[in-house]
Amino acid sequence: MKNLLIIASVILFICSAFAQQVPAGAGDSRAATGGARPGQMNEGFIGRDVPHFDPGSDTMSYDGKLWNINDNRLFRARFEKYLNAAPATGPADVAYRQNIQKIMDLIAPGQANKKNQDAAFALLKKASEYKEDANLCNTLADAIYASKNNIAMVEKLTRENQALEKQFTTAEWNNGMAARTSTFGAASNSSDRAIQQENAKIERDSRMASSKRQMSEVGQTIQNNKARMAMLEMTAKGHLQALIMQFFATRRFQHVIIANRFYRALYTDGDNSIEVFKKMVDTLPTKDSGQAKFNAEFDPKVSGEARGGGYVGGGNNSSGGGYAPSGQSFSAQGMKMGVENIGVESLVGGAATAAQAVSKLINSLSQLDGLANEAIRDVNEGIEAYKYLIEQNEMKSATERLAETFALGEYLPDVRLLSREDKRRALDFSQKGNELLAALEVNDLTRAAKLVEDIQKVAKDFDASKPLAKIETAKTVSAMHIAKARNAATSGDKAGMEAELMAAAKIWPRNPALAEVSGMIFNQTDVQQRTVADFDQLLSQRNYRQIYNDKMRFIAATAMFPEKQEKLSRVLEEMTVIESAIIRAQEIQKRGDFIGAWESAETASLQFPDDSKLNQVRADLTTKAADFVSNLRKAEELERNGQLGSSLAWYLLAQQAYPPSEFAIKGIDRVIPRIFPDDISRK
Amino acid sequence: MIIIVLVVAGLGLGGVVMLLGNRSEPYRTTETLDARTYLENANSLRGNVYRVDAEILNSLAMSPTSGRLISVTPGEKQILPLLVPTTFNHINLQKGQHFVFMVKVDELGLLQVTQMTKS
Repeated sequence: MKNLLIIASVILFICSAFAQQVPAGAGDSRAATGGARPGQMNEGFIGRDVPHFDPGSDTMSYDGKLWNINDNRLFRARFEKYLNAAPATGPADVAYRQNIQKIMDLIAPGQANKKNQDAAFALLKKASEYKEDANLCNTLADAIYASKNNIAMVEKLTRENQALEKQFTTAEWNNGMAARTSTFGAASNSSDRAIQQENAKIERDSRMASSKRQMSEVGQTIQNNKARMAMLEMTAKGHLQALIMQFFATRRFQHVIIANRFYRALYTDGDNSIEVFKKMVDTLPTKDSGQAKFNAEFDPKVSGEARGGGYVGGGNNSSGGGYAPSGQSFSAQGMKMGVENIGVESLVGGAATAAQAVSKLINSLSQLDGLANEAIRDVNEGIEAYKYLIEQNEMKSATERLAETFALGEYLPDVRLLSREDKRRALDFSQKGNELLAALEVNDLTRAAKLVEDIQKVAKDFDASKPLAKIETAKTVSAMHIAKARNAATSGDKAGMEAELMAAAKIWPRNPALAEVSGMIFNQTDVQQRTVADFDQLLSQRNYRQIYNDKMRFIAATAMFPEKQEKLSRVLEEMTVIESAIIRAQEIQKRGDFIGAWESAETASLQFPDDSKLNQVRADLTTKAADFVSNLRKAEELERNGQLGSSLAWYLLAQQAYPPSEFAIKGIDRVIPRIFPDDISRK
Repeated sequence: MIIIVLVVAGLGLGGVVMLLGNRSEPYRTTETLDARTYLENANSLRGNVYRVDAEILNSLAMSPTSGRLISVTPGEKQILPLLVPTTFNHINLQKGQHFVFMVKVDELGLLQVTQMTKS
């Protein structure tokens, strides 16, 4: 079962191993030609049970599933490991290859005599000591040993059966003799004759009983031995066939050839078919099951009826009702192996399906042998092609050929012997390809574009159109989103800006323009936040003059804060009044009316006492209208002190100096009612 | 001799003139109000009686119980408010008229007329 699982899993590996290294479409599995049918729809002439490669879409299909051969991390990792490895030119590698070659030569067709077989068998043990062999030769040696033992056992049973046949013959003769002899004489009359016949029959039966029993026992033993021989042969052949299939599936083609040659040396009947293997795999369940449990049933049946035929090694037909072997070779019927309730349920089903699929393709070991030799030839040619292509600087094709060759013949000498310098070039190209894949996967377009450029330098056959198209398209779309984000920021659409920035970042996360725009917007946000903070501080200080001086900055900053906007609006309104008063005062001043100008400034200052500029203007005008202001201040002070008479006198003086003085008039209007509450002249 | 006679005559004439003149300046024995002092600190003059010789500038207010409040100017760039009580309601007060007033500084620092004579 283990072999079947290995075969099935490796078949799947082979399917994925035919992956091309260089990303032509960055993981894009759509058909490049547009005309190829998806692999899963393509039943083809070998159906869904056999792996099928669709070159139009670069996909491998198997059992209804698809793999994109351009995007296989497992293979890429394995291939890169190979490219980094040193060539197998060390003493151990050389010795191992020589060992394998020697084994193959010893048991080559026409050379596989007993002596050479033994020598080759001994070399198997030696070859398995090398790391490169992965102990496969040892496994093969065990299988061959088991086969030899089984053959020996079969021969022993055959000899035993021959002896048993002799015994059977003797017993048969005895039985016949017993059937003829009678001690009774002729009877005198008819009734005596009947009695006599009866007695004779009884006597005959008793004489034949012993020989009959002997015949039955011997016959049964012969049957049992034949069943055992059938089972032994099936077991040995089946095991060895499965091992050969395993070697083939794991691409150990040299081991396939060696195993085949040993098989032909062991089983000289010329039966090259793999019927035993096929019947074994046909019994495997292809649907899921539960916990693992292996069972085997051996119910060997000898083909043909047991009458009228000769038996092996001898042969007179028997007229008796005993056993007569048909003389055929051992049948493969009656052997069942099953796996029940395995834990990895789908693997069992897949393994069984894969094994059945393989058994449909291959009918004989010779076919396997041919395929293995063909694979070796193909690998050698692949390496030659690689060397030529790297000379031509066509690294894409070269790497692809090497990858295919590696996938097929990873363990073959030509692949192993490729120099590191030659492999480095493929490694470099392969790594750049992987990096390009990764860059495109995470949308690092800058890096991807750089990698495309680098790859084009080392591989003049690299088609950059697909990756470049993707890069340029993504750049364009990202730029469009950034432009939209800018517009949204300008119009104050914060949600829109964020959405567009996110969309741009998703397409091209490392877009330099994105960082720049984001920084600008964030800076603006910082500036805005600082400005709003400044506004709040100035507002708390009632420093409306400063707010007014930077009004444009604050207007922009508070645009998105309605409450602050309202406060700013009130401040600006007040400042407009103050500025108007200042301008008015300055205009009046220009006419030489200092007192009037002062009054204008003083009036505004009473309303807005904290404005520095207004206070400055007022102070300046106070100097210019000093006498008037002095009179007024005295009048106000005396008024506060209750000295209404002198206060009124000062107001009158002020009014005399500047008749339109509102302050003097108002002062007089305040004082007189205090002196004359019932003044009738002003009513 | 003649000179002595002339001197005596002159002195006599001067005296006559002086007597005649004194006889035409009312409230001449009352101190004239120092407007500057009044304006600076009326409280210090409270209760005192002064003589004010001024021209009427304006009628500021009128009260049936308190009288009339007028502004007068005793001199250049000087203005004083005067309260003319109702006892003087029979005297017409018009802008430009010249009066000599006897005033008393009341508790509000206001100059209340106690006597007035047109001059």
